[in-house]
Amino acid sequence: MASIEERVSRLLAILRETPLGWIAAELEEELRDDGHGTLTGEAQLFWAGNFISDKLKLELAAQEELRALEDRMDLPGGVEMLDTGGDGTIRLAAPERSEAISAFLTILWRWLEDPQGSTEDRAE
Amino acid sequence: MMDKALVDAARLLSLQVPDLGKGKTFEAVMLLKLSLAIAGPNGRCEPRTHEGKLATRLLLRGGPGHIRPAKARGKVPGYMWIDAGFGGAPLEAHNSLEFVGVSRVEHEMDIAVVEERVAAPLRNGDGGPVQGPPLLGIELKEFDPRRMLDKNVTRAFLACILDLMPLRHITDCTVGPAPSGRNVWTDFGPAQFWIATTAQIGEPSVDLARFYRVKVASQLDPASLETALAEISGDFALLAVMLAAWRR
Repeated sequence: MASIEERVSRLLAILRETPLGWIAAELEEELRDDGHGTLTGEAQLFWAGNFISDKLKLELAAQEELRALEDRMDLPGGVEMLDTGGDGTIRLAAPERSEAISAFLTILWRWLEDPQGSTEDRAE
Repeated sequence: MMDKALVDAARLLSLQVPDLGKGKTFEAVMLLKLSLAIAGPNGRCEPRTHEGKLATRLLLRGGPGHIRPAKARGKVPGYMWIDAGFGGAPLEAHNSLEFVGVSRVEHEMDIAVVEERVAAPLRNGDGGPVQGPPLLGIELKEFDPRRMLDKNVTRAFLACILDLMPLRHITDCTVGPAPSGRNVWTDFGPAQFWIATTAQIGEPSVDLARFYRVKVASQLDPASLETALAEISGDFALLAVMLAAWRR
């Protein structure tokens, strides 16, 4: 297995290849400027994981709150945001948005624990 | 194998949540919860279309924008209508609405409350930005709770407020023969401004904001906004009563 430092670098490289490159950039900035780069081994790896998780969990919490508010305000069509790039709309609390965040977090933590491991759920 | 799974999950996430990191869901939560808080137990609030009709689907601005005319067609953002229940004028809460300062430059407020009588003429006409300040303006920042909010956020927000309400910043001046140092404008002005963030705010930023009577709510959690909202809406109720008395 690669060293912890190599795994952190690999994580950043993978994220940079995706539209989540901005998260990699923020993570790099934190590691470089705020002293977290002095963390070593597992601590650095899991600090990086928590950094990404916390960011996504804020969005997840907001989506859950918005779903409750849609029910309370009798908004069967939900709350949608106009897409600034076109004429489309985005339903902010759509369940598939929360599912995509949860799925990413699951894979992320599996990768952090063992980047060579299986992508399947472990048998109980 | 795991690398590919991570890349696929990241790509799916970006497709499903293209606005990730922009704080738009948090903005929507704040807009709805603030409307409920201002309405309180004695008032009511409801989502409305850009035509002013009761909405079953609330459309919000994806970026800074104006009040659009009721005659506009297509997908047009709506707003929250509020009867605050204390006999004041009907109110509207908008997201990402723009206001024109004395410089003629437009400034976006992430969340803004305006009187219906200010917004309705724009809606019934050709639309446009609101001239002057909102009754309540909130700058929202959904950043990492472990990070400190950049001091420039407070500075930039203060510059917008200055352009919208230049006299608000004059807290100690002499008018004619009045005794030197008389506080002429202190606590005058119906607009209230807040910086509300999920991040932390450093002491210098808090001091800077407080000096100019901008309130700060930090380390907010989307699931537990009640304390901050009670304070914001409580202040707002006092202001609305003051405004009503001032108009009489």
